[in-house]
Amino acid sequence: MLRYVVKRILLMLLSLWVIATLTFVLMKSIPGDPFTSEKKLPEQTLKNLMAHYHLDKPLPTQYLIYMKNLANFDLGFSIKSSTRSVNEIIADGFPVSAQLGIQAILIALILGIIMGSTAALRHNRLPDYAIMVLAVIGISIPSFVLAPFLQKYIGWQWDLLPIAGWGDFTHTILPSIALAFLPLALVTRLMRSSVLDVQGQDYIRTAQAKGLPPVRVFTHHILRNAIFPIITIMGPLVAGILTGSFVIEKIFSIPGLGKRFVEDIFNRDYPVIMGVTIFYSAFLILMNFIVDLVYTWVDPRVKLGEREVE
Amino acid sequence: MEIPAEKFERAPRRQENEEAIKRPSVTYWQDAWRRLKKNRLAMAGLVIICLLVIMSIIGPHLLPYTYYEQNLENGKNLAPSSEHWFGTDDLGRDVFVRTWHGARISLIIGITAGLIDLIIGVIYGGIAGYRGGRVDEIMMRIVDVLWGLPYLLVVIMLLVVLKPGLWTIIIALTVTGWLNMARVVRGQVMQLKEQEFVLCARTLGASTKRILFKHLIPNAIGPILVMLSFTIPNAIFAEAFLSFLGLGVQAPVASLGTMIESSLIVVLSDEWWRLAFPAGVISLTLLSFNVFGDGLRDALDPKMRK
Repeated sequence: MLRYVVKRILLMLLSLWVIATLTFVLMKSIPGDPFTSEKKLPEQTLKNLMAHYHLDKPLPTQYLIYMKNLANFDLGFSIKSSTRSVNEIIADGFPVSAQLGIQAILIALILGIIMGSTAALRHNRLPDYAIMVLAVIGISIPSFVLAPFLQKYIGWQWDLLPIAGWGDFTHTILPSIALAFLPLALVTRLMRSSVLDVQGQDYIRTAQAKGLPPVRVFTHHILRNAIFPIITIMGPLVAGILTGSFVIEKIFSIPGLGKRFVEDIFNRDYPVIMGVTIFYSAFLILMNFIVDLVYTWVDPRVKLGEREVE
Repeated sequence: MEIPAEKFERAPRRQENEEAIKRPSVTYWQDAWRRLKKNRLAMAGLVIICLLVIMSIIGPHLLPYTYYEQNLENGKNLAPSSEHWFGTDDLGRDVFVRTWHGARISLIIGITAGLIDLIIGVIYGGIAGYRGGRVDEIMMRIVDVLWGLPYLLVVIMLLVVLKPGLWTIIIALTVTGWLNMARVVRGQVMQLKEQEFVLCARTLGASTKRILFKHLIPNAIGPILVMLSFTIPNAIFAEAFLSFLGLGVQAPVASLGTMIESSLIVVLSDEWWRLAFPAGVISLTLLSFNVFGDGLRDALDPKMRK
């Protein structure tokens, strides 16, 4: 176990290093310095600015300073609004995004497990077909197509929930649903095939043969075994919700990190794009690591280090 | 009970062709096609894909407009009519022509990105799987590290630096997009290379290249096709997503994604056609590729054989 954990940590650090170096190289390959687009600055001011951001030093030195700052969790400063550090921007926006994301994941997991099990238990009957049609539609309709329609009908014509903005809990409902749509479809499909798989096992026949009530067979034998594979898609799920938040927060104008990131891409605020990308990447890489560890821990049948991803 | 001898009858002589195979032999592909035909949903998907491809080729030419032609005087925000089948947008451009032109751009991006992923993935995965040992170890470590990088974030970073355009989008999508294909091909090749026909080919002196591309890859074509049928909609989706970040194809060229993005502001007004048609076409495209991919997987997966 320890050897596996160490190996995974090394792989994780390597991935982080690659993404950090990649962002550095990409940002440095942009022609000109960050101040060329601003209005003409006095010679001395420009020099001071360059010195302040270490832009006057040779590239390898810049790279070392950058890596050292990263190791200290310092992601640098915004160029467009120079008083704000990237760390502050993340601290402002991420809690909002995290709340939406967690709500979306809860919707996807709870509803997905219920719908997937229902479809499997009514295999090849009406509920199965209905749920699978819904799941295919869920995978096919992008959240940015669904969201405007939610806004139009639920938010505007029927006036049930706020169309956009951020405030109390009611503001979070529509964006959470829009975010949860695709993950819900994925969880439903996986849960259905997983329950179908477990249902065919010998120990289920044993449980039925010894006279357990069907409800107990389901809760104690089928569900407990069928739920494991759901853990494996938690990584892609979180990644999907995270990137989905860029679009959803923009559509619902929610002051989260996703909307901020989109604005910074439009404004070409390179240090913020860089910093937020690294933050998001580190977050996702860490999530995948935790998911893998949890999976091997809860299901001892999985051989360490030999799990096929997808 | 006694049976009299005359009740017995001499069996006819063994016929010459008794052991001949009476039914026509069915190849792998005929078998797969037969199973695919039975799956009505997948066939519907295939038909819709064909229709979408045809419409994206002829659609822009059905009406006498171009996708960039503006009519600012009296052609703005017209409702669908016999002249403008899908109406017009805020610059007086015909939505029907733009929708099918956008579908063409989206399909080009999806199919090209899918094919490039396929080529890189097949070569990389094929070599790693066939060589095995140390080569495989090193090649797959590289894949593992790249696999850890979040796909869309890398694409965003690349497009922030590169100038967004049709080809830069395709390149950005394929930079890490081929990993999935490489993994699938490697797994297949590793399974196949232990089989007798490979040993036979090697004994006959076939080169590594010939074994790989004439014997191993053709036998792995099923899973490769299934993978491709999921890569294409993923690339189409990714391009539409990038449009929301201003990183999609640049005006006046429109993809379905940029059309949806630019018509979001009309959600609350009555000009539903500007959003509904491109949104409908992209959803239909993704839907038909997904159901066809599912059907193809069921048809080609040997485990599903009865």
